[in-house]
Amino acid sequence: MTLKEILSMSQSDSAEAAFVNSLNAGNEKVAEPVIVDNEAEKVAQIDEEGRIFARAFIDELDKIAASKLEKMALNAPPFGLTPITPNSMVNNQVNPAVQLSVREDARGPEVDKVNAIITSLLQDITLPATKTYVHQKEQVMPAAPSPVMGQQGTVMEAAQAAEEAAAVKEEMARHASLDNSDVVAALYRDIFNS
Amino acid sequence: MSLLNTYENMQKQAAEQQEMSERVEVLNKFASLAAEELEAQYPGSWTKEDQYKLAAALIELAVAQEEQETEQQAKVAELCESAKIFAQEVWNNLEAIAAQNQ
Repeated sequence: MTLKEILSMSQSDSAEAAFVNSLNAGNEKVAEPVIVDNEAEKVAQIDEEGRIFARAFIDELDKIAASKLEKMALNAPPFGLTPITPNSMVNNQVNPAVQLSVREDARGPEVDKVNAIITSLLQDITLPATKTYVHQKEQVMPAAPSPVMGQQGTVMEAAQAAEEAAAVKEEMARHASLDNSDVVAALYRDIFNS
Repeated sequence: MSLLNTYENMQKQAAEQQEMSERVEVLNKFASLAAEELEAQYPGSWTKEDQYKLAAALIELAVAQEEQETEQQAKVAELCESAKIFAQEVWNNLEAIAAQNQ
């Protein structure tokens, strides 16, 4: 049977044609993409993994390159051994822009470190100055000392208030721990003794 | 009982005590958290049983999160390790090609 005959059969209304058509229909069904519910999730996960891989890959290449450069710098001959000739003075007068760029590259990490230290020091210095009395909605701001009240009285009152607050806090903590004891015991029994 | 056995028993008891106190501390934190949450949501109208249930649920959630985090960390570590090997191989190949060209 030739291909032409098969094609003509599929166009006729015979039983063979119906069979061929059903086969074709079946094949078409198989070829349809199977839609998975969590396909988007899978794609997102693969994308995430790819990003992590790429980042780690680039980091590693950076590290290798940095270590190679360091080795090359260590193996480079010291400047003192370079013979000084009359022409070398002329040759050393390179483009200042290029020189600056090279110096920046070579000392980049050090400069960055120094800048980071200076920034951190400056931040430490300015820290008290940047402190603001930002408070919660229901938080009560400490009242300003009255000009009539003496300094001694203010200090004593503040100390007394602090003592009272500490006592209340301690009492609350004790109360809370006492209250939790039976719940903690039940949790311990169920989790660790089961 | 020899002195050495006594010493070993004491060490064992101390370790057990330490472990127990650490566990109690963690459980106490969860119990306090549950109490605070219940008090915030239903002030004055919750029971010890509610507190127990919420604390147990919070512990379960924390354990599940920790397990998931550990799993993810392992996966990321594996990916990073693969990427490092891959990068090293790429670098070696590049160096070999450069050497050949020279």
